[in-house]
Amino acid sequence: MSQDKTEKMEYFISLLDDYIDGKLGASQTSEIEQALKEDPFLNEVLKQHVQARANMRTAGEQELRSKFANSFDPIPEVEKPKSNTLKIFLVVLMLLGLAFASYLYFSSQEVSQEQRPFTASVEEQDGRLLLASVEDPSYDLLRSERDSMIADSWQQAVQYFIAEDYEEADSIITSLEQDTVFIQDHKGKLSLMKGVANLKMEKYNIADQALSEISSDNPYYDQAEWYLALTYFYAGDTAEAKKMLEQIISNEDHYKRSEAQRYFDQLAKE
Amino acid sequence: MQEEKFSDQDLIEKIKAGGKEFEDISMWMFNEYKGFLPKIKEKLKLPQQQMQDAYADALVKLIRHLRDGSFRGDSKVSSYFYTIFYNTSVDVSRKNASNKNMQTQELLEHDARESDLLNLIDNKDEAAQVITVMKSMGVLCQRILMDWGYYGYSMKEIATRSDLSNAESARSMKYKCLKKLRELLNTKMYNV
Repeated sequence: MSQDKTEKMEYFISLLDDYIDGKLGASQTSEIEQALKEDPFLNEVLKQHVQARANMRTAGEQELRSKFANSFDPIPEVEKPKSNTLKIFLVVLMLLGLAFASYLYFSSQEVSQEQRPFTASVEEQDGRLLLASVEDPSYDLLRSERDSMIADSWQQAVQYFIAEDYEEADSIITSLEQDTVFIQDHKGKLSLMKGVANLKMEKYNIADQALSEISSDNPYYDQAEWYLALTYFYAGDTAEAKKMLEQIISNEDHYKRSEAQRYFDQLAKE
Repeated sequence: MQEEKFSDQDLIEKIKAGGKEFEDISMWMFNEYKGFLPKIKEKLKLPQQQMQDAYADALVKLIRHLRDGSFRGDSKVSSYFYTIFYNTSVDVSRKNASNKNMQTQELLEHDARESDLLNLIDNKDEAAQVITVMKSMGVLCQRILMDWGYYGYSMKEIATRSDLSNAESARSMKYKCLKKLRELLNTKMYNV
C-alpha cells in the first residue's frame, strides 16, 4: 500500500466513529460512503470497528452489572432450622433433667424423714437421757406388702407409729398377732414395733416381753437388743440395762455400739 | 442524589448524556427500583442471590434500552423495568427447572431488533470472551475504551480519569487502543 493510500485509509478510519454515530457532515458522509463502495478493505475495517465498539459496550455492561451486584448488602446467613431430632433430643434431655431433679428432691425429703430417728442423738435433761428422744426403728423395716388386708392393717399400724400414736399402733399390732401365718413370717418386725410402741408408752413389761421374743437369728435382733437395753434403762432396771448395754458394746459391728457406751456411762455415774 | 426524584425524560437524558451523569443515574435507578425485589421474589420463590443477579441483569438491559432508543415511552420506565426484571427472573426460574429450551417471550416494547451489534453478543459465553480480549489489552486501554465506548465520557474526562495530559492525548490513545482491539478481535475471530 502506498504512502498516499495509507494516509487516506487512516483518514477514513478516523472518521468511522463519527460516521457510525451520525456525527459527520454531509460532504464527509458522502466521501466515506463512496470510499466504502470502492474499497473492500475499508469495508472490512468498518465491520471490525463496529465489532470492537460492540465489544467495548459488552465489557462495559459486564462491569456495570458487577457494580450493581456488589452494591447489594451482603445476604445474611440464614440460620438453619434445627431438625426435629435435635428438638426431640432437647425436650427429652429437659424432661430427664426435670425427673432427676425431682428424684433428688424427693429422695432428700425421704432421707431426712427416714434418717431422723437414726441420726438424732438422744436428748438429755439434767444429765438424764430422755425416753421421748429415743429414736424409732426404721420405718422401711416395718413395711410389708403381703396380701391386701394384712398389708393394709400393717401399713395403718406403721402410719400410727410414725404419727407417734403408739396406742393405736399397738392396738392394730395386737389384732395382727391373731394371724398366725403373719406372725410366722413377720414375728421380728411385729414384736419390734410392739416393743418400741410400749417402751414409748412406758409400758416396760409389755415392751420387755415383746422384744425378748425376737430370737438371735432374727434379722431384727440387733434392734431388739438395743430397744431392750433402753427398756431396762428407762424402767430403772440398771442391772439388766448394764448387762444388755455391755452385750451391745462388746459387739464391734453393732450399729448402736457408741450410743450404748453413752448410756452405759450414764448408768456408771449413778 | 438518592433523595431526588427524576422524570422518565430526565432518566433517558442522563443515560444518553453518558459520563458522570450516566454513572450517577444508574446507581439512582439501582436503589430506586429495589422495592421490586421482594415482590418478584415472593411470586417466583427464587433464592435471594439469584434474585439479586436477575435484578442486576435487568437493570443493565433497561439502561441499554433507554440508551439505544428501544424504550419507546409507551409505559413508565419503572413499569418497563418491572417487566424486564420479571421476565429475567422467570428465565432464571426456568433454568433452575432445567428447561433451558423455553425462552421468555420478547417484550412488546422492544419488538424491533436493536440496531447495534451489541445484541448479537448477548450470550454470556461470548461476553466472557470479550472481557478476556479487553483485559489482554492492559488496564489503560481497557479503561479508555470502556469510558469512551460504554460510559460515554468525553475525551477531556477520559484524560483526567486515566491520568493523561489532555484530551488530545486521550484521543490519540483511544485511537491506538481501538486499532489494537480490532486486530485482536480479527485474529481471534478469523484465525480460530
